Amino acid sequence: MKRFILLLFLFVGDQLFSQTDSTKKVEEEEDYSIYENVTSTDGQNKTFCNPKIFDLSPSRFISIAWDQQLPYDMELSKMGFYPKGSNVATETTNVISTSGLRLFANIPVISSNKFLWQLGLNYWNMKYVFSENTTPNTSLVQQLQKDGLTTMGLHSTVYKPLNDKQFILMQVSADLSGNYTISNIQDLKFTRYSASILWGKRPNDRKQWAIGLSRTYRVGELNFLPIILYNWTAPNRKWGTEILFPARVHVRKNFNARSLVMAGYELEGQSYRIGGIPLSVDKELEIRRGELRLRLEYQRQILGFIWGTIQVGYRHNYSFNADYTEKSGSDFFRGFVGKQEYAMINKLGGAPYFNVGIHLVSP
Amino acid sequence: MKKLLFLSFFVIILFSCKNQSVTSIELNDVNLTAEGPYFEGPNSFQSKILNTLKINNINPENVDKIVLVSAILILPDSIEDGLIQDFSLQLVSNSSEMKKVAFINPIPKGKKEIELIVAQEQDGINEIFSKEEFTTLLDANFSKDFETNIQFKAKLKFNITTH
Amino acid sequence: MKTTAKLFSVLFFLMLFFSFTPDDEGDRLVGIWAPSNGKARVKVEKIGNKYYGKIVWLREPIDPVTQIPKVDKNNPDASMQNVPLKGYRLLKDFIYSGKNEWTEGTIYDPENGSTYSCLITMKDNNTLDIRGYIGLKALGRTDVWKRLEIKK
Repeated sequence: MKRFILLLFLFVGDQLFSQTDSTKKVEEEEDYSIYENVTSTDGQNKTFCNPKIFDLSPSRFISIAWDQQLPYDMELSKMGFYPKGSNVATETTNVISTSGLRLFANIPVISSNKFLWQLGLNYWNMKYVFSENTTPNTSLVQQLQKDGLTTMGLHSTVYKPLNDKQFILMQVSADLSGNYTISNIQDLKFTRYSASILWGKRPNDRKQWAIGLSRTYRVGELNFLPIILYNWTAPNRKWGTEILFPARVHVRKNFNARSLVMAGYELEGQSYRIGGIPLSVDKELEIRRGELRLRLEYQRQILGFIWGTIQVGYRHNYSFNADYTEKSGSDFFRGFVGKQEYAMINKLGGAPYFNVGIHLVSP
Repeated sequence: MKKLLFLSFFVIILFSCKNQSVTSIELNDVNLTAEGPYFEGPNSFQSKILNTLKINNINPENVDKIVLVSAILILPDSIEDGLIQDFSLQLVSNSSEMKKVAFINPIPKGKKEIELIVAQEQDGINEIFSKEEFTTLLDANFSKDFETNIQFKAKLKFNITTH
Repeated sequence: MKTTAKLFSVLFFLMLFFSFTPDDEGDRLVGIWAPSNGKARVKVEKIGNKYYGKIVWLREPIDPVTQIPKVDKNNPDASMQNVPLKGYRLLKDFIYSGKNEWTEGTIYDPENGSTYSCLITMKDNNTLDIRGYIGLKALGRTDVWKRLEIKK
C-alpha cells in the first residue's frame, strides 16, 4: 500500500504542487501585425450602426433649465367663432415676463449595440406676469396670471439598427398640457399624443440621415408632417449640422470635445386645455401655442458628465389661437387646409429670450 | 474692529495651510526590462519599485499629494534612431488605478537621454505610493522587429507634499 | 494501519481532484476582442492581479486630417493629447468579482476623451457585454464584443 501511494505521488505530484502562473506576463512580446489577420471564434461578427455620429452635441439623461422671455404684447380676441384668416378685434395687454422651469429626463431601459429603448418624462412650466396698467379683465388673462401654462409628458424612443448602415427610429409621447398645477392636475382625458417614425442610413461615422412621418403638436395643433433627419460632421470635425426638419435645424461649431455652439431654430408647441373659464358653449377651450425660436446656444462641459448650456434667441409667435374641443377630451384635425373655426384669434409679439440649463449627458 | 477682523483672517489662512512641506524624491536607478525578441508595435517593459516612502522616512498618512515632475529615459547604445517611435509611462499597483504619467511622441532623434512629457493632471499617485510596492510600466512602440534584449534606465523625480 | 492508509488515499484523491480545477476564472477575459463597430481590436492582458485592455489594431490607423497615426487628441489633459492610440490601454483596472463579471474598472472613449465606469460580463466564452455607465448602471450603454483568434 505504501508503495502504491508513493507511486501515485511520483506520477501526479507536479499537478498537486506546481503553481501555474495565470498572470499573463507583460514581458511576453507580441507581434502587432498578427492582429490584422484574425477571425471571430464563433463565426459571427455582425456590426450595427451606432445611433450617433462623431461630434454630435451630447444627448442628455437629465436636464434642468430656466427659460425666460422678455416683455412683449399679447393681443387677445373675445370668444366667438372665427373663420381662419379673419380680421378680429383684439385687446392688447403687455406681458412683462414669461418664464419657468423646464425639467427633462431620458433614461435608457435597454441600451445595447443592437437595440436602444429610452423612456423619458418632461415638465415645462410657464408663468405669465402681466403689466398692471394694461391688463384687460378677461378670464383667460386671469387664468394665465394665476397658474400659467404647464406641460407634463412621457415619451418612449426606440432606435433599432437593421445592420451596419440602416436603422429605424421611433418615438411616441403623451403630453398633458393646461393651466393646472402639480397639486391639481387636470383630467388625463386631455392628454395629447404624438408619434414619429423614421427610416434612415448611416453611411459613415460623420453622416446620418433619415426620412419619416410624424403626428405632432409642435405648431400648437394636431398636424401630420413629413420629417427629415440629417446629422453631419465635416471631415475636419469642427463643423456640422443637426437637423430634424421641420422641428429643428442647427449648424454646429465644435471648439473641442468639451464645448460647442449651435445656431438655428426650433419649433415648440403644445395644445393647452384652459380650465376655469366660463364658456357659452358646452365645450372645452384649448390654446394652441406654437412658437419659432431662433437661437444661439453655447454648450460646455462643466465637470465630468455635467454640461451647462446658455441659449439666447428670439421667440417668434406662430400661434396662440384657441379652439373649442370636446368635453370628452378628443381633439380634431385641421391641418393646413381645414376650415374649422377658431374660438379666439390671438397674437403674441416677438420677444428675445434666454435659457440656461445644466445637464447630465450620456456616454 | 478692523484690526480684529484682519487678525482673524490671517490666523484662518495660516492654519488652513496645515503647515505643508514639499519633498523631492529621485529614483535614479529604475531599470525597465522585458525579454526579447521585440516585435513591431507596443512592447511593455516594467520595473517594481519598493518601499519608496518608507525608505525616505515619509509617513503615507501625512502625504497630501505626489506629482511626477520629471522622467528621463536613457536609451541603450544598441537602440538606433527611429527604432522606437514613442514611449508611454504608467504607474500601476494592485490596489489603485493605473495612471499614465508621462509620454513622448515622437522620440527626438540623435539623443540618448530622452525627457518625457509629464502629464499635467496626476490625481491619485499618492494611492499608488501608499502601498509597499508598485510597478512602473513603459510601453515602447517599436517600428520594426528587434532581436537583442534591452533594458531602459529611467530617472524619475517626484514632488511629495506632506502636512 | 489499513484505516490510516484508506484515509490517506481519500485525502490524496481529493487533493488530486482540486489540483485539476481550471486556472483563475478571471483569466478567461484574456485574449483579443472586437468591439461591435469593427473599428478596433483590443487585447486584454493581466498585469499584477488586474486586467487591462489595449488597442492592438485600428481599422483606420491614420488620421485623415493630420495624415499621421491617430493620437489621443480629445484627452482632457492637454499634455497627453499626442499619445498614440495604437497601444492605448482603454480598459483599465478590472478585477474578477465572480459570476462571469469583471468590475471596478473603467473604459476610455478616445472619440470624446471621456472615461466611464465599466462592467464586463462574459455571456459565453466568446462574447462580452461591455457596459459603460455614469454613476448608475442604468445610465449607460452596452456594447457586445466578440472574441477573435489569430488565423493560423
